[in-house]
Amino acid sequence: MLRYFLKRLAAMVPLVLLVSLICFALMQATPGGPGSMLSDNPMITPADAQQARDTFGVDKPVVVQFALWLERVVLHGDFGHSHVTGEPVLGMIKQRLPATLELMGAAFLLAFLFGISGGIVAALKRYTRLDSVVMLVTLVGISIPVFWLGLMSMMAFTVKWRLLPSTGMFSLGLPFSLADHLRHLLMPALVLSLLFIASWSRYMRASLSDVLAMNYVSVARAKGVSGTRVVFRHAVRNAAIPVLTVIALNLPALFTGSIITETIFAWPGMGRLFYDGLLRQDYTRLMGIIFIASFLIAFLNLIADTIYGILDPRIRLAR
Amino acid sequence: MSHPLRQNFRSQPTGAARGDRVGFGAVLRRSPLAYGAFVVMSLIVLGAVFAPLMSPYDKDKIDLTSQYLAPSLSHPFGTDDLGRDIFVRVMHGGRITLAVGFLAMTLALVIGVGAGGVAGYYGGWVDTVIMRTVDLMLAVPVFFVILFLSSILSPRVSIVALCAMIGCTQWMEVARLVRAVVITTKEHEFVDAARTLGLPDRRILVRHLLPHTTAPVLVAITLGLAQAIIIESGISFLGFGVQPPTPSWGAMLQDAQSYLSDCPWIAVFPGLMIFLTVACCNILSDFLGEATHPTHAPRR
Repeated sequence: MLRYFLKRLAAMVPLVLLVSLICFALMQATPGGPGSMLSDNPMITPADAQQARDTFGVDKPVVVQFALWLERVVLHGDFGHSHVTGEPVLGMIKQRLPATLELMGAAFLLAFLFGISGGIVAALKRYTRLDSVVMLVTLVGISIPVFWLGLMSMMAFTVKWRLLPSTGMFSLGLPFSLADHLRHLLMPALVLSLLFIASWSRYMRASLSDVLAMNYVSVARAKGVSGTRVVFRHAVRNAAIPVLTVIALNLPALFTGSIITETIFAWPGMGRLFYDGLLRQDYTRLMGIIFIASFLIAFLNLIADTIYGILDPRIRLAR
Repeated sequence: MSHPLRQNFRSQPTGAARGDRVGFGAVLRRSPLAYGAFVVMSLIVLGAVFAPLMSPYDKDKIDLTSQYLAPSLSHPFGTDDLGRDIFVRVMHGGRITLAVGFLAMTLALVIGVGAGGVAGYYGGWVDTVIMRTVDLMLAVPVFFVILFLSSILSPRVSIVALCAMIGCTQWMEVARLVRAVVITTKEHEFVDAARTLGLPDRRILVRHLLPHTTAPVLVAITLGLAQAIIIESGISFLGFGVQPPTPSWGAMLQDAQSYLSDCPWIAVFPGLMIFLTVACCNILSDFLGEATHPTHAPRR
């Protein structure tokens, strides 16, 4: 198992290297190239601009620049400074990451709870009215674009019924309270999680229906094991294996989904930071976020592969 | 990154057995949900195609005497902040959104079938290189990169550029599917026979192997269309895709954000169209998956 894990880990290195190369190529493709913001600014003298170019090394050949950039990123974790605010990019990301992780975590919990239980209910009540209802809801869930769902729920819960706040993490001007924070978290987390609730319950339903039709389940029933025990002790545990790998593979999508959700609900996370960077053309910040995002996604894929390898020995032996 | 839409959802079998040739329409009518989706999708496509013929109002003309009108008989979907008729703009927006969707999907299909077919047929280092590229592409946070590229091109993102960006980032699933089918199919005797007859590799691949990938690819491209539409709308919604005054469903939603409390209809209808289109794609791809794969029908 360790060997398999190390092999997958080693495969991550060229991946991250290539992604950073793409990032760098993107940075070179920015209009005027990196540093043009300086020379376009009338408040900065040409001498100062030249000095800044020397410090950032943008006059060197592209290959050398890439090597230098890579050295800074890999050895020192230094993504440079924001073109707009002058803050170190890594600091900005560190400051925003917890909010994103909180939103993702909450959405993940909701999706896991409702997705898995919805799938189990649908599979047990297969071809009944309840099953049809669950399947219809999941169809809506996988088809509704997250930004429209966000707008519609804002319209319903904030504008019309005045139940939930629509922006930010806290009510301004009030002392911090957990209840207030959770009220702010609820709507974005639900909106972000609906796609995954729907998708995971469909997987769970399909997987559990397959398992319930297997001989060992019939054997368990035949020898008199109680209904709930058969389902939860024997069937669900086996049915969960493929679903767990799907969940692991979906984690990156959850990360991407948070960018739109954060933008709509003004949730101060990495997605919002990215969107803000897009509006202000802050390329170093964007590069930093894309690099970290690719790294996270590669890491999550590694975890997914590992879970897969642990659960299914055929996978790790085949490679 | 695997998207949650890519899944094999099973429901009632449609009952088309392998071997007996049943018309597409006959199979379709047996599944009311799929039939409904087909009809709705056709209406949306027709509305988009014939939009210029059916528009009583100019899609871009600003009319300050008819701002913020609620839905009525003369304006079925109401009017927006500039007094433009939303029904007309939604139909015209469909032209852009659907065109981007179809073109991007076609590009993804061409790249995916090409790469997957070559990888599966030749194997060896060609396969390794292509599949490593697929892994790499799946590790890139695609939506971030497309947004970044569009923001560089903004405000002059052409439709072609949008299609190219979406198509170039959505082909991996198709490539994997095609490769898997080609790998299993090329072991069959009819392929040996074709080779013995002296057919060139290219012909074996294109004429004898790729047709076997039709069923799974058909399912994948319906999902791909939904995915492309969602990506285009998402980018336009964030303001880096189709630019005003050109209507696209996503771009219309972006404008609507400011008027949520007073004029909800501005936000409701464009989003409803995205939702309906994507839902139809999902239903149809489920249906196609079952209709072409009766063996996957659930055990009862």
